[in-house]
Amino acid sequence: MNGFKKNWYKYLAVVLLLYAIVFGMLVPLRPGIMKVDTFRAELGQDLTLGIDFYNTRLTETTDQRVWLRIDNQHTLLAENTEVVHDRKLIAGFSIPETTPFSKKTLSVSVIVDSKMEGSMVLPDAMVIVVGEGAEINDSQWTQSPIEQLSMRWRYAFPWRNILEETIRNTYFHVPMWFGMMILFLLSSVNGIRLVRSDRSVFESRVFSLNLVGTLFGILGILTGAVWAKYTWGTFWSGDIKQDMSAVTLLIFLAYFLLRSSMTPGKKRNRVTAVYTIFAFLASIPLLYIIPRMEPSLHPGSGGNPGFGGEDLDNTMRMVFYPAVLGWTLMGYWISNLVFRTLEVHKLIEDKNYD
Amino acid sequence: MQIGVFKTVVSHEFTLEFRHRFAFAAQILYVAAVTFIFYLSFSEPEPLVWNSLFWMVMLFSGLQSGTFAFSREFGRSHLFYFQLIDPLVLFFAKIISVWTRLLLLGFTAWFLITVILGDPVVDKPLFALTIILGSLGLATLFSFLSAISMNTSNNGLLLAVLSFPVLLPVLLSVIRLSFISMSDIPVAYSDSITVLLAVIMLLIGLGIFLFPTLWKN
Repeated sequence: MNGFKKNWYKYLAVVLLLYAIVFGMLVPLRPGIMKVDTFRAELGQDLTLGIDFYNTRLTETTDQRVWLRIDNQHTLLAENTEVVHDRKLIAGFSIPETTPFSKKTLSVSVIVDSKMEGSMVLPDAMVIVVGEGAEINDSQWTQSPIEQLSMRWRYAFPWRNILEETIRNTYFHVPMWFGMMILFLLSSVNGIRLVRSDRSVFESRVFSLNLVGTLFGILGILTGAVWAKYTWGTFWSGDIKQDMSAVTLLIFLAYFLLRSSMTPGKKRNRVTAVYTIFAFLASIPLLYIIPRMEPSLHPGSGGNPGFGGEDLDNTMRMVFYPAVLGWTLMGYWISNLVFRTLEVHKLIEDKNYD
Repeated sequence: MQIGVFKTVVSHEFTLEFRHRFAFAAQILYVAAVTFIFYLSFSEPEPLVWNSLFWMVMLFSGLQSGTFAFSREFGRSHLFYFQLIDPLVLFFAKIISVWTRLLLLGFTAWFLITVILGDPVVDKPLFALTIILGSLGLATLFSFLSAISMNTSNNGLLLAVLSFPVLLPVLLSVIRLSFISMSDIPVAYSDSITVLLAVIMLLIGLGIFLFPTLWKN
């Protein structure tokens, strides 16, 4: 029992990480629309639209309703639908000859609803081209409003186009940065204690926390690069967030250079502690201020909505926060091991010199 | 009393700088040489190239000035200085001396580059303000990191390695500001000035907080 009191956070870390990995990987995604096979239609055309789905079981019911939606008031219901297989549906529309607005093109979303799957949306799925001199009259567009949508709750992660299954990386990529910042914060606190007390035990703390924080940063960059490959198209696109994260890591790598270029002793303890505090405070504008001012693809930068909006719903929160806590505790655990190794080495060296 | 001490230390700095004016002359020569090499290879550079040339020159001059900023104080006479003056007084005196040097250098470089390569700057007051703020940022950063790297054996190399990552926010906003000053279209630049000022304030605040600790060694 004594050991448990001392090591509770290690058990907690293991349990939380097992939970995060198992649930983060195994919980399915909600059904969603992958793509439609037509991107352009004209007024007055009889449109046959093939729709590809993800994670659906369309053959089990036949109550699918499909809409084209211009905005909340102007929608068009499909006249017939035909299920090809579990994940493919063909919908027939007869698009009216009139246009509700005097625009050259109408951008339409596709909405599919069935009792089995709930309602699914593909925003800006296609464009309807309005010819010259089309009559402006919205009566035909307002006859089939979207109503009686089925709500079906299921334990599943949200479907997001482009993100698709990579949404699970939220439980690995984001906690790395949370964990890194927490570890660096702890190392700065230890740096302040070192400066105030001059005890070399804090130097080992600072070093071990910086080491694991940098490791987390490198893993964060790598997971981010892999994620970028499948969503943005390349591993490294020179996005401001990527560049500034790399710079932050360089600042902390310079810490190790600084530490190794000085001889052990009080002077080194002091200088490296000061540099650690400096590096931590310098990394805040790099990671959280500058990326917000530049154009960027990353959430929370360049005017994009920050994390915790629509992308992180309650099912994901149930895995995400435990993952953050688990990874942070795991990092602290590793840093503790490094710390104890350092201290043991110090003891051995002291013995040898005596 | 502190202000009196401060004035004395600053004037001492300037006297020393003036005695070693060959070092400043060498930097001017360096600017001239780099500009002439650019002239030979580009003859009429675009604003983008002009801009990067200017800030490269400023960066390396700043690095040179910073490397030896504390060489006197951290050497043999450390104890003497340590007993005599408040570390913060010394820190600010250093910043002012490096800043002045960079300002002189910056405006001379602007003049030299203009003579040899032409001047694409449209909004001259903004560019002057950029030089003033950018030099202050570089001076603060190099003074602070020079105090750190003076503690090691290989200080020139280490100063470069330590400072380049932190330089980026300063250089990014400075380069953007000077690029804005070269464009014909008026662009809002208050954001970049805010970032630059914030980074400078952060650096100065860190210096006030941490420099006395470094100095105590």
